[in-house]
Amino acid sequence: MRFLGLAWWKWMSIVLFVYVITRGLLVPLKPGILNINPSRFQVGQSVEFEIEGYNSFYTKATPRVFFKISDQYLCRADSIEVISETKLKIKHLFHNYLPVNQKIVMASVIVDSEVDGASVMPSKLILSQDSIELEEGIAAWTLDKPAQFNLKHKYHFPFRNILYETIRNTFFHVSLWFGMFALMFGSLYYSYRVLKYSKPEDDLRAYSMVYVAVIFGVLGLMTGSLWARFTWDTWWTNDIKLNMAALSMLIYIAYLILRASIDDPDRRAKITAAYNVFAVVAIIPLIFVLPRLTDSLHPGNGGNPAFGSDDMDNALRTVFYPSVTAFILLGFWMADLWKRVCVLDAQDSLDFD
Amino acid sequence: MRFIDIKVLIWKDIQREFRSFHQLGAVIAFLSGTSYLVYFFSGKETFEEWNLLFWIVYLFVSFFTGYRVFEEELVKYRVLTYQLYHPNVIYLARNIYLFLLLVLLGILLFLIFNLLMPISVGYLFDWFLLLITFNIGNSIILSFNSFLSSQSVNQTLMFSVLVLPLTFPLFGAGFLTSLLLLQGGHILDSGSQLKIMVGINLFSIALVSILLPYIWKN
Repeated sequence: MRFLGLAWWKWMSIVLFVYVITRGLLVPLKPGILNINPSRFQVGQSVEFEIEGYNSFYTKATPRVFFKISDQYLCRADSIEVISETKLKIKHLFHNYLPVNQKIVMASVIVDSEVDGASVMPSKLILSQDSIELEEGIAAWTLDKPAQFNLKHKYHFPFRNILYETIRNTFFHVSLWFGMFALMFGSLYYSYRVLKYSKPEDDLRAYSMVYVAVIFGVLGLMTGSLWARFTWDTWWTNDIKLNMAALSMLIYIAYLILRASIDDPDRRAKITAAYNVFAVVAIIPLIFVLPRLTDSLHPGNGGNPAFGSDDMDNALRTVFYPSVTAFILLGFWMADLWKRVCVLDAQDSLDFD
Repeated sequence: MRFIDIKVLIWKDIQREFRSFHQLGAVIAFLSGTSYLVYFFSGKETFEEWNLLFWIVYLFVSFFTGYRVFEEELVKYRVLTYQLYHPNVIYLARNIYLFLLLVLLGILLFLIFNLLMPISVGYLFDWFLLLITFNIGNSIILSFNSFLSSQSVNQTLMFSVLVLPLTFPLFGAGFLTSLLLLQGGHILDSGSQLKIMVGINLFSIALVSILLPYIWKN
């Protein structure tokens, strides 16, 4: 029992990891719309198209389908045929005019069902009109009474177009970066202690934390690259956040090379501690400041919100925060183990001498 | 810290440079040679290509100049000079000398590039201001890392490994600002790039001031 008490944070990281992996991978996504085909129509004629749903149960309750233009104009589909759990066939006669002053407009599609709740595919339909009659268009695209959509209160992760199931990577990719930064700041503290008190143990602690931080950083880059392949269709883009993250890895690899190139332990401790302080402070503008000054694909940069309601809801938060905690604890645990290996190595070499 | 000490040490560095001129001569030869190669192979330049080539050559010139700052000092001489002057004064003098040298080499490179591949710069004074702003941070990072790498084996390689990622944002900001100047803009129009350079300058000064007393005692 004493062992459990001393290593409580290690046990906690294991429990959190089990929780993150089981809950993070098993909770289903909220029902959503995967595709609409075809999606380009001329108004004033009867059209037919198919809606492909995701995680949906269309046979359990026939859904209603709405088309929406610019947040305020809504019209309901004329006829809906349920083909399967995830397929609907829509027949609809679009009125001759649209409620806008343009000849071409993008419309969103809303599928609402008692079982699945409401799901939206934004700006998917492209509607075109030959001439503009705004008043007639507004009258045709205004419902007699406001549409009441069904809300679904089950525990689901959000369905986001482009992301789909890869939204679960948030628990690993983002958490790895959090873990890496926690380790870097930990190493900064021990580097400061090296410069102040010159204790060899502090040097080993700083080194082992940097070592594990580099591993986390490389894993962060790999999970990010994998994610980019699915969402942006490329392994690597010219996004500033990606390049700055790669650059920060180079800075830390330089730290490891510098460490390996100095033989005298005291001098090595002082010099690498000074470089580490410089490196951590250099990484703050690289990762947190520069990407916010220019356009970026990442949330939280280039004017995009970070952890706002658009990319993080409460269901994700119940797994994301434990995941961040688990990675930070695991990182410190790994660093502690690596420090012990270094101490044993040092003792071995002394015995040999 | 007395100003006269710094002045004496800078003068000493200049004298030392001219007594063994082959090192600076090699840097100038490299600068001229690469400029000529660029001229020979690239033909008619656009703003973007001219700017890119200028900053690539300047990157290498900075590295070749920077790594020599703490190169030749043997430990016994270091102990001796530390008795004569406070190490912070020595470091500051070398830093100022490197800064002046880099600004001069930047101007020289600009003149050679302009001689071989003439290009119109709207505001020459702004270009000069850019070189000064850029080289404050650049010289601090280069001299600090030169000091660190001089403690290790294989100093030249180590210097490149340490400095390249650290100076990357500075070179990026310098590159984008100079592109703006070549297109007829003012240095103040660059906004965020100028802020980045000033920010890096300030944090480099702060960090080196904090860290230096800990490492020279080594």
